[in-house]
Amino acid sequence: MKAALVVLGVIALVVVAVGGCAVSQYNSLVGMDTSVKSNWAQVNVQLQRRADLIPNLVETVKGFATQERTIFEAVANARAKLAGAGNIEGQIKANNELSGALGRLLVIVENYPQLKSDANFRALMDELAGTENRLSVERKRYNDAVGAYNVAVRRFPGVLFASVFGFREAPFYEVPESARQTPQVKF
Amino acid sequence: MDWVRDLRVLLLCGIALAFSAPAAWASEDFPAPAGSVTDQARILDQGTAQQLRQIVAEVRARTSAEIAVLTVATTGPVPIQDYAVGVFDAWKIGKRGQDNGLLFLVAVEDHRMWITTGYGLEGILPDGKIGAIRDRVILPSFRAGRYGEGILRGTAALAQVILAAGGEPGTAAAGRGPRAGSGTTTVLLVVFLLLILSAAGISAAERRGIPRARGRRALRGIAGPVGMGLGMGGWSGRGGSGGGWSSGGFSSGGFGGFGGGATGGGGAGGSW
Repeated sequence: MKAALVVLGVIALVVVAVGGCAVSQYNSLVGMDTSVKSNWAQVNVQLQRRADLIPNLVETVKGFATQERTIFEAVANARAKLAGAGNIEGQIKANNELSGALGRLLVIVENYPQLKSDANFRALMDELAGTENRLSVERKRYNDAVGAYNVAVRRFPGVLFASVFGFREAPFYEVPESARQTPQVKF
Repeated sequence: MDWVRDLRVLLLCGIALAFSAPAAWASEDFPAPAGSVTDQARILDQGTAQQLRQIVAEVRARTSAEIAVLTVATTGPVPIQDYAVGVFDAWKIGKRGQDNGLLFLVAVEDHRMWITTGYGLEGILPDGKIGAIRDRVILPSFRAGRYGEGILRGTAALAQVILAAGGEPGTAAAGRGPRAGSGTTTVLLVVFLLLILSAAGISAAERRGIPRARGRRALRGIAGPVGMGLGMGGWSGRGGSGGGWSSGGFSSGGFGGFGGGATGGGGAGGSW
């Protein structure tokens, strides 16, 4: 009788201990997942800011470089695709395409020196450079949050609970080599 | 025996906790601030540095916005924008919550400069405005080699904009994610466990009914939970602290450190 009670007590304590650890694992995973989502929201804010600058930039450049039709269309198409992108991976892909098109536009701008002396264009370029910088800061913070979350989901006690509770790895925001051109302000 | 049972529980939770240690922060090598004007590249003479400090002090007194000036020889392999954001994050310029800080960074040998604004000043000093000040006032002097004059005039122009706007930051966005509060819940769970164990330990000792050894057994019953409690206390202290350490003490008179502000990385700069 006494031995059975002791064994029962031990089992109860083990169950409570494991249950307690499960609860704390779940809570920390929820915290990290929310951090990933809120950092993505910040990245999105900067991506939107950049997307809003682009029509103005294209119009200003068009005023000086009327014959460069193909590149304007490429930028317009890439920007239109942003609206259609769905989940985070889709949005990352669409924005990398836009970065590529924007980079090509900026290469063309180099051929028009009178553009550089236009005050409107200079202000826009400053805004764009500042936004690219903000984007890279938010991207770094997002990737840091994703790194911490992915580690928690994959390493030992977390990996047992993560799939049970439905936590999956989050995608990193990677920028491919082709789109890696930040606008340089050279006057 | 009571203490064996306690030990088993201690071991289980200890293993779980060992796996949940927070990641260490990596810190880069940034210069320490020497007041509001840190002239590591030694391009400012005494008079200019003094005037700069006066401007910064006036802005701080009237609007609580914090301006910091840093000159370095080079930012090394790091692009100047990233270096500026790194310094800003390390020094935490601007009042916490308002984020009204500004960093004016000049890398002399690289021939690059960058001005970074905190979240709170982005409305008053958008990138285009900073760019206009840079072109009108700063770069012409820099191109002529007159760095002190360029920095002084640039800071004065920026200060003028901040003072004119009254230093109202508009909406200071809370740009960080939520801090994990998992430490508190775990501590509560553990305290609950301790209560169960203590109750179980004491009741078991009474049931044995050996008066002579009762004191010793009760003590053993408590020793396990107490040890856990001490361990938990240390851990939760570590888990509870988030960011926001204040930057260390300063010897320069009347300065007192920066306020804990943050930046989103905006601003403008250029090369000459």
